[in-house]
Amino acid sequence: MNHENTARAIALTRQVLDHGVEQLPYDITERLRAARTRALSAQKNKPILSVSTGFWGWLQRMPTLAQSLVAVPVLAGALLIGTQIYNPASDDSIPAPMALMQISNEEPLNIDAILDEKIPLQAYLNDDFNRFVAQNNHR
Amino acid sequence: MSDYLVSPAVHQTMDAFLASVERRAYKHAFFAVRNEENALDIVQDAMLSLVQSYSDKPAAEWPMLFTRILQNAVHNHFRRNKVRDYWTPTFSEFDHSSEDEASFDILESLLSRNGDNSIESAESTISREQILGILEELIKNLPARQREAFLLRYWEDYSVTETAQLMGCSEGSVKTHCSRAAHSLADALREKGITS
Repeated sequence: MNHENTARAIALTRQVLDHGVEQLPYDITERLRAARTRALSAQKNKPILSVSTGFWGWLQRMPTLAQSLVAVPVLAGALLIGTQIYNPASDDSIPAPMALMQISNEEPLNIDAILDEKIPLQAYLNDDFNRFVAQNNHR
Repeated sequence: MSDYLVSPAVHQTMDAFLASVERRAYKHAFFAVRNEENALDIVQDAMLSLVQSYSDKPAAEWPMLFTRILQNAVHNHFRRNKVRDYWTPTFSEFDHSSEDEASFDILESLLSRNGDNSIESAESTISREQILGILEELIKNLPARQREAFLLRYWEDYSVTETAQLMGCSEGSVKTHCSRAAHSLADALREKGITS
């Protein structure tokens, strides 16, 4: 067997195999196409993994149980601090409409009088007027 | 020349890339496992693995990665099924009588069709599809490593170095496997009268 014969055999093999790839039965090519579609759908559904740094990154890399053990006290602390910082009763910067509601905690607004325009709405922003109403109610 | 199992052209999308390689990948798997269903499963697993693990890699790296994944999928198949290719008869182990019994049917039937019993050259008589059938059978019967090396080197046009990387062996081993496979095929084709 010389090299020329071997080379000829290789060339023939390549040619025939290439031909064979083109002549695959329809059901095989369709199943290959379906397999490809399935594989690609896995790519679309692949979760996007982002490598976070800092506290969140550290938290994400922890096991679930450890995450819970860390997250619960942190959230509780954050809520506690949040409620202490935001105390509506001590808030002086209440906008005008809310100021009306604030007054309503002490004395309900006379809605009928306001709607009948007997009492202008702005009157409830006047401390003297509110004091007058309070005194009248106490009598 | 011919394409890689994976074309050297860089594909813009994974879809285009897989479409360009799926048929050849199927043939590789089929030659190895000799079963359509298993070959299709192997190709699908390889596609899935490439998409899930390496789709963020540069497209230029997909060809080698996919070929390697496919090779591993074939090996895993055999590992799972406790089947070893080296149990199958190899060309070097064939004596001519057993080869005649095993694979001479096609030629015999072709020759018997000649009413005047004149012996035509098989090359002119056998159709391309029949040669394909014979060649595929010959390739399937090659020892696994020889077949792997032969297909990667001579069909897919991978270099000796690349083939060695893909097969996880030395370049010397690749050359040996390729040489043995090529000579076996050449001998078999000549004996069948397909080549002179």
